[in-house]
Amino acid sequence: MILRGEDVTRSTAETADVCVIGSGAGGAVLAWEMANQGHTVVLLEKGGYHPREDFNQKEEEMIPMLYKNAGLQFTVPSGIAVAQGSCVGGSTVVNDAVCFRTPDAVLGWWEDQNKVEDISTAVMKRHFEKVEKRISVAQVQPYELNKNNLVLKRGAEKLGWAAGPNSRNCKSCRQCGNCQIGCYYGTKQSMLETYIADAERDYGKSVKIYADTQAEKLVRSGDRISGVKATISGSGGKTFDLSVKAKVVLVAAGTIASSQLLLESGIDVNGQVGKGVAIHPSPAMIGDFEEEINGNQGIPMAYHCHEFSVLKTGSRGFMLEAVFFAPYQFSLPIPGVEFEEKELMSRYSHYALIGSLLHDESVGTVIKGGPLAYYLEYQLSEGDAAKMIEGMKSAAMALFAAGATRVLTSHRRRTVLHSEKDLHLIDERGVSSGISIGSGHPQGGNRMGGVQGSAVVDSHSKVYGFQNLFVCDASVFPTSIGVNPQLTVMALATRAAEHIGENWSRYGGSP
Amino acid sequence: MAIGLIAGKTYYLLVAFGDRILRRGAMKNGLIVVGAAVVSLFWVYSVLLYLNVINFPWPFPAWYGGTAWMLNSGLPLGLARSSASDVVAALIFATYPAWFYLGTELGLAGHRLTKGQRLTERDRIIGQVVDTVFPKGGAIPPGAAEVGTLGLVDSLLTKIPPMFADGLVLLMFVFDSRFLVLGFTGKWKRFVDLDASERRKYLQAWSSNPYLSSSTQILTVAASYGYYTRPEVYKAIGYAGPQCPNLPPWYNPGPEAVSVAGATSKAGAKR
Repeated sequence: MILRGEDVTRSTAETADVCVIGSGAGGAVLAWEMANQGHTVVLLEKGGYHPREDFNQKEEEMIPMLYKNAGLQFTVPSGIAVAQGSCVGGSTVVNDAVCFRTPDAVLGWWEDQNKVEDISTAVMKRHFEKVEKRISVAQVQPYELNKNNLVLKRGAEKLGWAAGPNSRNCKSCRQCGNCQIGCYYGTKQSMLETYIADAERDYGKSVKIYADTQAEKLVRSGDRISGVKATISGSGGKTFDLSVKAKVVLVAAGTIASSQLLLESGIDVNGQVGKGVAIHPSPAMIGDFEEEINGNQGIPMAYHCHEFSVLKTGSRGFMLEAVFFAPYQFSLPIPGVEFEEKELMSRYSHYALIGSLLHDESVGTVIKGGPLAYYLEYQLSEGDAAKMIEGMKSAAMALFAAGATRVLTSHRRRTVLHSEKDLHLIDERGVSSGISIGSGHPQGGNRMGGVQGSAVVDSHSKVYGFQNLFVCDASVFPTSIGVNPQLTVMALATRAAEHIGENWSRYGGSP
Repeated sequence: MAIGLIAGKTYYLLVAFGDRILRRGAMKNGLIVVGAAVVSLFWVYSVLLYLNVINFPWPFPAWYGGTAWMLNSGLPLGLARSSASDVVAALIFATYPAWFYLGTELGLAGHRLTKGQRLTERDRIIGQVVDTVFPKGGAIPPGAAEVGTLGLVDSLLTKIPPMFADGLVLLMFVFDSRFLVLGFTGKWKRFVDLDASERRKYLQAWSSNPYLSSSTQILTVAASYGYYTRPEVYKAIGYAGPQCPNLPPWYNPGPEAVSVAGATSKAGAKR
């Protein structure tokens, strides 16, 4: 059962075996898996519940409806825009459906450096396979590549760089180009269409989902969490209290929010909660072509180049990804004021865009304060800044190789490259300030680790020092992973649910 | 007393911007912290002067001394430090917060805005920002005013957490301040009173300043939201806009699906 805030008219209380906080790639999987084990589940989601019919492809309505803080979330002081979904289904509703398994090298780091147990490629394989089958992951077919994706393909081929089509969780994609504002056709197999819908269908009586409900605090009772205090944004603009008693509490509110909830509850394990947040900062490089590209017509993210990525090199680098947006989101990296910006945006249908996803080693911190109650402090390290510049240059090279007549960088001071001879301009402008950078992959903050003193959660996502509290979303990544993270989150959630089920008698004491 | 009043008034002008600051929650706490920091600065400076650790600056010569200045204010009073003056000085220092508060209130006098006035002021600033970023004409002919950008930005502010909206409003008032306009353009005017070219220059000065660019980033992002989501702008840049409930005309069902594409497409589109 899914309850919207508007359905609620009074404060209420619930009792369940499991309380899950968050309904994205972590929370939805956990809720279904725990229900499948026979447990009753109450799931709390801060965002609203919107079935696919609501996704009307209008940016001005969808962005405030589906994104955290209406899409206006920035790091401090670097001003990097961090996009996160805020709705039932979480970021899986607004992502580009790109699916990568966690790179083997990254799993190796987690095993060797962070002492995480049961995390090898061999162990994770079955979790990935299970999730991939469930959300219909398949490789993009050649006929599905639109001109924007073909630009990267052509550029990478000319330069001899390793590249290929993405795998996506989408069935019979209608190629409308609006993945980032919800899939009207329901072909994207987001959590809304899969685990949440399946939980409704298969376990409608044992799974209760509260939308528009913000978990405020975890209620501690010694080394256990006895329940969750939440606030429902109810009918008539009123708020109501919700109290949930549960035997096991699973926090999957996403990076930033999960750390925020722990800190608000007075839980700062080893002084590490909120620390070590990476974001995959991704500057956009825009190539201008004589022919029309119409990048918005077709799958926005269907092709990648991993020549400089951990997938090929085994070390941190960057990945080039073809991506496109509807005009508002596309305009954000466009520099200028007045007619200058208009002149640049008027070429929208002639542009191809390559994002350079930085596999960052820089880490930020979730800090209490500011108008959003908590904010993310994040600044690029010198090493990462150098890598980002290399990534931008590589994207420009690919665009020129594919035939771009000019390339725009996302510096706020208009920076136009007319050939590879102008690449030095990127060095001169730098990336430490004066540049618009986006991020859709915040991760870390409640790092997983096998050594108690240096991590927030253990190898199976249980919070150190607590018997029945788990965190399982991208916030538990010990390091950034260098690829789009949704599959990793889902696989880790599947793994955590299996572990909790196998040890239920240990974790699931009386509520 | 006079210094306290002047300091309070200055604080109002420079930091508080009168009643435009929404005095609640974290914002109010922030103001208290800033105010306390200003008072503390006065305390430290006064005590150091009184103890003769530092001298009052030019035009008083170094030999005049901080203590003498604190007791005589440069007048030929001939007062010297004593145990009695220590007590009086401590009492006067203790009243600094009161004078500062009174000065702030004095600064507010005549400047208090009703909620309606605040919204009008806010919209005036937003309106000038969006008109500056997206004027009529150029490669995309419609201007912000023609396509209703201000209304959309207004609606966006209702959809973000209230404290964040308050913060943005505060940012707008700071942005509009005469002091900052003076610093960047040399004009003693509010942003909303500048002409178009001055507004553009001012906005670009903020954008290119490494410490302020993030602030204007939020303003221009909000402006872009209100402009680049309008049908008139879509048309001008060749963006097809929403296709649902129909399938997009560019949909390619693939070579193997051509024979059944019609049936599956209709089923999918109407779900």
